[in-house]
Amino acid sequence: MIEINLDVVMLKRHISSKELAKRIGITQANLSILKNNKAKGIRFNTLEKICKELNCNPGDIIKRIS
Amino acid sequence: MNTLNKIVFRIARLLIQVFLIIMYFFEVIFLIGMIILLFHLDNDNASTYSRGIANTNIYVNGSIIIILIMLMLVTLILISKNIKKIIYNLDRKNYFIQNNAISIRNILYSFIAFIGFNLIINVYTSINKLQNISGIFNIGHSSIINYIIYFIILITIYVIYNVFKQGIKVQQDSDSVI
Repeated sequence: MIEINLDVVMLKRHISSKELAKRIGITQANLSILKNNKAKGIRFNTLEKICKELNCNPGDIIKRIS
Repeated sequence: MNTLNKIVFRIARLLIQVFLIIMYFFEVIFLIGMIILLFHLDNDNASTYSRGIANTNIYVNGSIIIILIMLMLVTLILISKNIKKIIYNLDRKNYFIQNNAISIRNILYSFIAFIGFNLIINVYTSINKLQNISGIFNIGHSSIINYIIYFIILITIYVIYNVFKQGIKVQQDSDSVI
């Protein structure tokens, strides 16, 4: 199962959901769906923007748990 | 393409509006006709009219046929209103939304009702040997060709409905990918 650890990374970078959503150009509602593992998928484009803003790698955000 | 769409949608909405006004006008006309028949307000001319529909009671048969025609007009009004709703949504670039699927489903049901009423009228006029009633909806001149055309239209609407239903699923799937 794939898990999103976006909230952990956001906490480390001291960035709010509102600020991140604004910077990557998605709605807060969509960011919330992503954070709560409710999304069916994530576009490379969105992933790249998140990684760029949080200065991290995709592996820091997405993890596989068994 | 965008400009062409806008022009087509605007013309279609205008035509549907005109069509709706005509349908409402016909509804009123038929309603007046039925009131005249039911309350025997036109007693003097009844015998003249009944020559066209020989050996029948003009009051009973006339009222039944008028009611069925009015119901057919109602189905046409419902179809037009639903097409108008779909055009309104398409004009606002809302293609695969639930409302469009519901509207197409309503068109499908209305068209089935339209065919049903048409069939009932044609069966009724055949059984009672009513002829030369009206050219509208080919009443009294039933032809198998009409029903073949109706069937093809019905299948087309059903296919469009399924395309929209599938489109909504794809749209929802796409929306759930962030």
